[in-house]
Amino acid sequence: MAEERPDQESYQAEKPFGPDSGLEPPDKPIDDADDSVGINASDLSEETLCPSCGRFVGAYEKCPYCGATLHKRMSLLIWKRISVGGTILGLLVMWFAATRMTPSLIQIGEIQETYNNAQVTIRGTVVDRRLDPDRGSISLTVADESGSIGARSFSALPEFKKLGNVPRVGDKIETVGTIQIDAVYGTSLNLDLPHRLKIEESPEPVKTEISRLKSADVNKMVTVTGMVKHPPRFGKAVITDRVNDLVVALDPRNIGEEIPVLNTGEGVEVTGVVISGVEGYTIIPASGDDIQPYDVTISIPEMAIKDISMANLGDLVEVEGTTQTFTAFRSGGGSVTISDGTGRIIVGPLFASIFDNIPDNHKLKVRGTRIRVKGTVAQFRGELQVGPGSAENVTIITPEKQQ
Amino acid sequence: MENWIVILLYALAGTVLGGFLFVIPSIHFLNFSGVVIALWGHYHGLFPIHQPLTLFAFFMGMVVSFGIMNTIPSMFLGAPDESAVFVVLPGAKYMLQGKGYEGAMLTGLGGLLGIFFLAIFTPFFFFALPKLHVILGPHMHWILALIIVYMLMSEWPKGTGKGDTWWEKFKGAWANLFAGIVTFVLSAFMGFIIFNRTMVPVKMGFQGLLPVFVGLFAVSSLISAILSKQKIPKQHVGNDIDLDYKTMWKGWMPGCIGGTLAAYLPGVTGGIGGLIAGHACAQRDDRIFVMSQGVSKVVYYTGQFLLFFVPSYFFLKGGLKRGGMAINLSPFYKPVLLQEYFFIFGIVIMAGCISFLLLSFNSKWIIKLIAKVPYQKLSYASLAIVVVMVFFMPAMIEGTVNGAVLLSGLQVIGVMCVSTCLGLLPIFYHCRRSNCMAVIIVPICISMSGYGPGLAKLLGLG
Repeated sequence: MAEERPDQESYQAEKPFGPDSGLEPPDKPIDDADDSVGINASDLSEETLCPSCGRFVGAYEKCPYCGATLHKRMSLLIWKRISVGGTILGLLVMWFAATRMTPSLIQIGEIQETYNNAQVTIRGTVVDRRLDPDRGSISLTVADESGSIGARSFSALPEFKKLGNVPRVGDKIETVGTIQIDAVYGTSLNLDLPHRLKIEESPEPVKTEISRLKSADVNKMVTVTGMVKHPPRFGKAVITDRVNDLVVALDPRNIGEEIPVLNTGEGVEVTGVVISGVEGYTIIPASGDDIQPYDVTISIPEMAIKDISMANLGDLVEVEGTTQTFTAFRSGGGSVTISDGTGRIIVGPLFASIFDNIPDNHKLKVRGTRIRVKGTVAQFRGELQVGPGSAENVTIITPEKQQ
Repeated sequence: MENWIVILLYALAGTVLGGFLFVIPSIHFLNFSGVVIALWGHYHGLFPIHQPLTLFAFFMGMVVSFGIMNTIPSMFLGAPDESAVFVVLPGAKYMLQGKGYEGAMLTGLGGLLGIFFLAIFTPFFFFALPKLHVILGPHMHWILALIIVYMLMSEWPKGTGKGDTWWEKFKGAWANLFAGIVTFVLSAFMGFIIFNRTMVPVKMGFQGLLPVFVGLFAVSSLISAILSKQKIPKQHVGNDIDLDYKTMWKGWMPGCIGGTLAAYLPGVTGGIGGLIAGHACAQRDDRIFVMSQGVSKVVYYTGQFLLFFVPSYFFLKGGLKRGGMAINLSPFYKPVLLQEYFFIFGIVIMAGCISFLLLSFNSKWIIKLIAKVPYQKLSYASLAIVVVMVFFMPAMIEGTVNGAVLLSGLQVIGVMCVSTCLGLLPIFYHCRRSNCMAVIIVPICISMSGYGPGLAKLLGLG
């Protein structure tokens, strides 16, 4: 239903300020009204009113009514210009500073968790190196007086080769990298800038003896001579000067695939960096050429079985006897008990890799076969044994016919 | 797991502390984690060495409470972090309508729904994520490049293009966009410098981005709040909110998508994830938008840190590190057991529920506070706190105050000043603040593509 319009009479009868209207007449006549304080003054922003007299002044900086000085809001234009200028100038200054600054040189030992993601310079000796040409990765262990750290790049080996600065073990280097600390992978240095690796020095090795190696030789290049005590196995060999042993690290990722053949009793001269570890001292050669045959007059004593005791543990000895029993291993190979008339001793373990390479090895299973063995005295479950370590150290002298 | 009660107490402590701490504008859990780690370096009793999970539980409580609680400074005090930049405008609308409390609770409800999303989909993370990572991992750089292109292009068209001359029309149409592109480019340049040079003291390397982010988002927001002199009308605190289940669902979905994207992709933050998701779902209701941003923030922060706990044996190359918190804590411990993952997840649920309750409580007293104290004064106080924290961060890490350390503090403040100027650009020129995220997303993209060293050399940073 449409709304009814009020008729003319009823409309005129209603006056805005009449007694029936409910509205109050204004306090002042219109002529005396204050022009500056309008009916809607409360809607006006404070900034447009004079704080002294309350009149509307708009954009004036000085009130035309009372003369008060009006504080204006800060222009945003200034801030805009500050932000643009500050950004550009600041970035330029940062860039200039960044191109001039050299990442701080730190000691490896001072690195802690808060150094994570920091770019630093370290200086030290390369004590280990692993190259993977297929993947393009390079991994170095760099050591200084305070500690050592692994430095690696997963793909920059070609770049290093192109620049000709692939360091060798023993080289003193200075490099820039980013520290990465992880609870699983430990602390490492990310070699993300191949051109920042400088080979400072390839020091000449110092000739010394295995028994004279000391803590001052750690991380230094040395040349030692000795006799092979344990031939290469699991990337390591052991040489000796009959007083002390020295582990020789033969990682193909460092020295290449051409690892020289080392047989027990042979003399060798090894050049490399000495590091200290749980096995005592280890020497890490830079390449296969750093291992050369050497005429070393170190003889292996031939001993009667009865003379071998727990005091000889670790000694290199030579024994001769006849086979008594053979104990086969499930995985192949076995151990042989021999006797020389003075006593019995176990020759082993002859793992399948050793046993299979002994000529006429079936004769070892036959009682009465005479054999000569060079090896290291060890013990297993309280029983002494002589471990040959390689097939070359087991010689079948004369097979005896069974009666 | 030994002494799980102790671990739970640490989680509770982190949640409650975060619940009150993150009400202060511009305090970010990453900044605070730097302070805590620095203090722990000097006071080892803070967290038991033999129970490294206490550290993680404490920070997980903080992360969850931050995801929900940072609504308060964003909405009531106009100081958003990078994940909340998109909440501010609709949030400001709620404030001007006197519905600030309702807006905050809407965002908080979104956060709670985000945690429920994580609860439902967690079992799939173990199996889907490693396989997804194998497929997507090698392609991450161009995925990020696409996101960069999207970030820039999704701001178009903008401006009315009205004017008398062609120049005025051109300027009208392109001024804001140009400002956005300039902000993006300058942020990327700054990020490249930061990623290739440690501009903070070496001992502070783990907080190398601290001054940058504080300047870009925190200090610039506070300056903006100080300059604005906006008057906030009286706020109404109601007992219910204007929401139905359909709207809730519409807000939940885009937030979950955005938050998951942000949690998984490196360099992509909650704000960008929310932007993508918001466009993908194309909803127009402010309630949906505000809620989706709340979901996105919590899924992003919590999901990122939670990914760190996905047992590493599910991944081919070890665990997945996403986000500053995982990176900051990875030197200390790497969770490996499935049991640890579920325990931490229980902490997430507990922290989320407690934080939601604290949000209601804190919103009410903040509303009373801003009614009595002009928020410019609060902004001044927050600015002072933030500047002091940044200045003294090297001293906290070093454990001493001397000339060299104070000089380092000035160095850090200098970087913060530059990033503050950069962060003010989008505020004054009305472009997206998410463009500032180019500071991490562009360097990461370039680095992943393999062009990082080359570009660094070109710029003299190699």
